[in-house]
Amino acid sequence: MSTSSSSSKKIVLKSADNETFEIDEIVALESQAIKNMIEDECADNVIPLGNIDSKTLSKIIEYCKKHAESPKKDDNADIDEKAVEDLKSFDAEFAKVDMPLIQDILMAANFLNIDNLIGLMCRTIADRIKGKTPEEIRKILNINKNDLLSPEQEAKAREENSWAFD
Amino acid sequence: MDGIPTNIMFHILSRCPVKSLLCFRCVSKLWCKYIDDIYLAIIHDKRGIEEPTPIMFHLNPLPGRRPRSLCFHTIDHQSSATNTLVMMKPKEVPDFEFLCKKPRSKSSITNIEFLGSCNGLIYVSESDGDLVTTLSVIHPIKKQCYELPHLPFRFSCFMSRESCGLCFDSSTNTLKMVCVLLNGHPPSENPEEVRKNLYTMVHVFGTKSWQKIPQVPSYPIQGEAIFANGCLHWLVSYHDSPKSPSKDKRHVVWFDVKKEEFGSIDPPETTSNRPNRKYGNWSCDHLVNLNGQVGYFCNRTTEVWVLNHKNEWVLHCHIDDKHFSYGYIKVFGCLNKDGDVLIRFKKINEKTSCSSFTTSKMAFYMNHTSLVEKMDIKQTLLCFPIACFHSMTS
Repeated sequence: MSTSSSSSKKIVLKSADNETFEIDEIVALESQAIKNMIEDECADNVIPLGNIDSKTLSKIIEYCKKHAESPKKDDNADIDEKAVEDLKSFDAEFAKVDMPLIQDILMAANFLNIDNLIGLMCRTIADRIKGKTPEEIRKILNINKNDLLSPEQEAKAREENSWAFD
Repeated sequence: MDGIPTNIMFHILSRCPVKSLLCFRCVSKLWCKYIDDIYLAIIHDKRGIEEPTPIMFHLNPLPGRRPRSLCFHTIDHQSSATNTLVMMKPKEVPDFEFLCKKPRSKSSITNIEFLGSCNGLIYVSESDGDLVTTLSVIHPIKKQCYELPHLPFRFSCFMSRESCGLCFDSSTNTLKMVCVLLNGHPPSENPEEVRKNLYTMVHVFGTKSWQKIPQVPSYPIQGEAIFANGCLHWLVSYHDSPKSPSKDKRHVVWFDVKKEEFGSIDPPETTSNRPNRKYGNWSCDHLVNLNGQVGYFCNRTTEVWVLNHKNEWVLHCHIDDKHFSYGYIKVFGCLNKDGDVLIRFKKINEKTSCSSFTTSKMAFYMNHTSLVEKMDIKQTLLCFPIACFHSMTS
């Protein structure tokens, strides 16, 4: 461990399956929810995250680490273009996971209030469903079968927007 | 996926193109509800991810030339310029047909006029050849119509010193129709006297009436309204524009929908020293929606200007006069995100000054390369980004 990181404050996150993750405070501050907890001094040494499993949490920490290390846009007006590109390609690689994990990350990011990550996951889902048929969407996103339109309603919706189904 | 909160679903869906969204209405009841939700239309508008989708419309006359209906054709976007001709052809069956009202008697006439568009909604007037009898709003994609309540005022169908405009008030999530009218003939041409005869009527969609509001613009207005950045924009009427040799363009009147305030913007000032166009004068100037911003076509210089967010005019393009030397130019809007504009040129016979539709041409004007492609289509084409999810009644 380097001296700089050992001198900085540590936060411990505990996943639903009781795995603990020790991270630098600066990384944890990427989450607006944790930031609020720390500022309000209602965070103990260990923050339990009862609705996030360890697989999802380790992905989220990977994301927060990278983004915490990168220079922030509002810090410096003439930000290094290389750093921006680097972050972009990191994001692109980061999103190359299967749909259930994407949804888990999205839900967790929403809970932890990490704006950039919510945006990235939403863009990823939008890119994957664009131009797909309703049947494909139901399969990709595992839509609840009890919520389907009746055959009559579906026929009507198709008829109304027939140009979109060309 | 079913556990995803509503705000996140809007995040995702607002990043999808309109065409995909229309398909997605079939995914489930919940998705259908999301997509029809008015909020989605608003964030979709703000993102502006869409390529403009041109909509073509034309009158469908009955035998004997009386208009029977207005037909709308949506046109699939194809970026390749070479098949523009194919792309612009109307389909055999229109996507939507707006039927005219039957005239009151056999001898009376019904005219139908396109007035403008706002967020994918189109508004039209029907008149008896003298006064506007009905204002209607059409949603050609969703095949819906909304007829505004009976007009409690005189609205001349020529609209030479009057106009109206459809707008969306995002503070209250309501659509509004704003009419600026001139009460009879003012006793003098003094602008102060004229202004005293102006009045403003507003209809909020879903209500049953028109309300008079105290604010009026400084001058009567004319022509199509352009809704952009929360404001309606019109040109000052040709008749009432302050005349002086140094001023050869018309001021723009704006109406802030949320604050209910009028104001005006100076016209763009050209610095070019191109020779003046032979045909027409500043009565041919008009406003146009250029990918959600206010555009100004100046006939004398054949320049198209666009109003940026700082309320400054920026030159968008210059239409080469040599292709369209003597006739009327109408700029319809942008065909794509690159800002290529679509124009119609109606040639005028130099000797008789008569215009004829047989010599009118559509032109596809490439903004960056100045290449002009001509097409022979007689229909009127409208270009705007469609974000067609406004519910018209609630």
